[in-house]
Amino acid sequence: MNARKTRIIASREYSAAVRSKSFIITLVLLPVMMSGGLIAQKVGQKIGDTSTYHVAVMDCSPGASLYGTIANAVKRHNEREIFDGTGRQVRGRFVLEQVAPVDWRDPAALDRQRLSLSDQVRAGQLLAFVEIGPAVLSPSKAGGGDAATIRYSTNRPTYPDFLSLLRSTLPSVVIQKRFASAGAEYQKLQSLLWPPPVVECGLAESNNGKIKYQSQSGQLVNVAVPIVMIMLIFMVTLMGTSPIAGNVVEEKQLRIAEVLLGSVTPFELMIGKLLGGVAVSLTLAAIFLGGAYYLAYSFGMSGYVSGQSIGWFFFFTTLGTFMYGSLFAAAGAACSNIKEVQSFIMPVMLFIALPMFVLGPVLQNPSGAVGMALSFFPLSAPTVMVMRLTIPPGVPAWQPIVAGASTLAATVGFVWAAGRIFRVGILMQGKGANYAAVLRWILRG
Amino acid sequence: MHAIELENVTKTFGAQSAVDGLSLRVPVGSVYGFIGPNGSGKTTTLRMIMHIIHADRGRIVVLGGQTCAAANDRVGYLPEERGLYRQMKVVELLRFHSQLKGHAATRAEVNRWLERMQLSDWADRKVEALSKGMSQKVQFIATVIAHPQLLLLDEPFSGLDPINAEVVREILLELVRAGTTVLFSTHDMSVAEAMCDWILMIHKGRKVLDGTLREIQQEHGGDVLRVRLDWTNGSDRQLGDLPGVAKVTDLGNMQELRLLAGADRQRILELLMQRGKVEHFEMTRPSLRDIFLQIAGGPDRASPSGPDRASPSGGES
Repeated sequence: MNARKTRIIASREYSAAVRSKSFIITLVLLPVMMSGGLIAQKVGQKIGDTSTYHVAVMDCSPGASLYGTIANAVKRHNEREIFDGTGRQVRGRFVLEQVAPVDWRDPAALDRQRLSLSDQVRAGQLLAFVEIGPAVLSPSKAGGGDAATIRYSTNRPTYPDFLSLLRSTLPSVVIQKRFASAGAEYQKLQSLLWPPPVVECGLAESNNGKIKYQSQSGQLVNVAVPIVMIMLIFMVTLMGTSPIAGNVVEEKQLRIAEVLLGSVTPFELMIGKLLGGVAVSLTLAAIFLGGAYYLAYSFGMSGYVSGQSIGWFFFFTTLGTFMYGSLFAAAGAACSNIKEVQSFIMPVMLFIALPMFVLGPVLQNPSGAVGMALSFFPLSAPTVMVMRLTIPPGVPAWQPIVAGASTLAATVGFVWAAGRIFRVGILMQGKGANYAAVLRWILRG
Repeated sequence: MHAIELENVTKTFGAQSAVDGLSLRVPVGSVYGFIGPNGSGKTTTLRMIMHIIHADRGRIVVLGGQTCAAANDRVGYLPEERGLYRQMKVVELLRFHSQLKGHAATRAEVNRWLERMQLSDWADRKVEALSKGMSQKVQFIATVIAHPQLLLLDEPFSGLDPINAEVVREILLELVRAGTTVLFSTHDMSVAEAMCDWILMIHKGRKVLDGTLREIQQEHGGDVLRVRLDWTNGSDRQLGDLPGVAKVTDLGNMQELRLLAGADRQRILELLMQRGKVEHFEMTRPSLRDIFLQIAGGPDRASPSGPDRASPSGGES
């Protein structure tokens, strides 16, 4: 293989990729997408919610004694909790509509009432309706069931504010009333009934003889970092490799491939493309990781990812790009248009994307069977091993070495096989090859 | 010394034989024309010479070496289907191709070529902005910019207007005078006749002609008469019944008569004069096109029993 020619091809591929619109857009959009939730929340807060929501309340408790509790909570909400520091309304206002209680012993009447209220919710006249069962204050007499519950019905389950208001006020008032009716003093027993909180805390560490504790926000960072790392390696490797298939197909369609093959061998051409892809991936990784490190450093949180983990990140990014890139290059050579490539590469893409579907189990138990298996399976090792490396307390030193060695061996195999497919497919015109033909090309050359 | 040597080269695709036992030798510094009908195996042969595809059997030696790495940088290759990166600027593209050949052309060198091909104003434009003809010229420059010792050109004149075709022809001849060996395939027999020192014709994967134009004409030609008669007296235009005439081709203003060996030209002239006023009577050799048609078994445009009208351009598309 001629290194000079491979370098020239790689340089052209890199130059074409980083000057493309998609690269620039990704550079801007990826951080936006990764912090999309936070930004959306901030924007949502800025825009605010000036709506007024009507809620019907049918209080069937004795003497309708709980309606007043809700009314007070709503009054407090509307007066104090819907404005920001500047006095601007940022949350919705509530208006209560009291509904006369129906006889709970007449199920047909109860159904008619519920249907009528539901229709009003569907028509947008009400946000929701609340039913307070007649036995809420004395559940033992009613034997539980609907009569002892507080029902909240809406067609906007994702809007949480009124439900939160109910949950934060009604249960404690109901318990107070139950105590009162039993002749017990709630105030005296309240402290006894207070459940002890279970709080997540950081480990203690000695710093020049002083004991320090990791903060609770640090615990959150420990969960966030692995997720960010796996997303990042997944994105940068695919950004560097997925365009290769399209480029190869285009070079076939525009007959550029044959012109190039007058100067380079098919293998040199493919390796040049892979090196170009690796350079693109590493550029993206350096920009994003550099930016993330700068932010983390600014907030005093730079110690959450070790230098060793960063080193492994770049190592696995390089291997992953080579491995996935060879698959995309082979798919491009075997197919005659980009649609064919998409169907051709789909089974492989499922394996590559597999770690994204098992984020939860791996995060919960990094050394469990799923995490271990996927960090040694070559197609998923680059992403899963990087993720596990950044989940405290990390992994034994031998694991990334073994995973790296097995991925390296698999990458060499993939590149070799892709080279054989590429050599035959790159000049092929007309209908694309099927899996059987591709297997034949690999075995027979 | 030969720039290219092929010995008994064979290539099949599935059950289809593309090239069958082909042998040829291209002398250094010569212009070697490669002719043959569509699908005859010309492009496959050129690709095998470039080691883009591998022969099933036989031996291929290019510039003294049998491996592509030994020869590739000294060989310029222009495939039949042109292809350029559309997003690259013309200058970048030409430097890219020259670098691949290990030459690293300077901007001044690139500018000289662009000026020669009347493309100076397009130097910093993207390839996608070029017309098809301009792209052809850029592709040609990309092929020759690294000063190759051997040029393999698949239909180098196709798609070029006569002015640009003439420029390309001049450049090729200059390169040959400077020592470059040129092998090109063409459908244009007049170009092959005018430019080539040697001509090889391949048909159904097998070599059917190989030699200088004179040798080929001697081997395949009977004599040919070109005559023009004044038909205004309403005489019969049929000439196929004349004694010793094997074939008649109507060229429009003129008829071409291929004579059988031993045909009496004087007698034919007398008979022609009886049929009308003879305005032109010329003894000539058969054209390469005639020989091509004769061998390739293309449409038989003339017969002793009556003439057909031939393509006025005399060329094949």
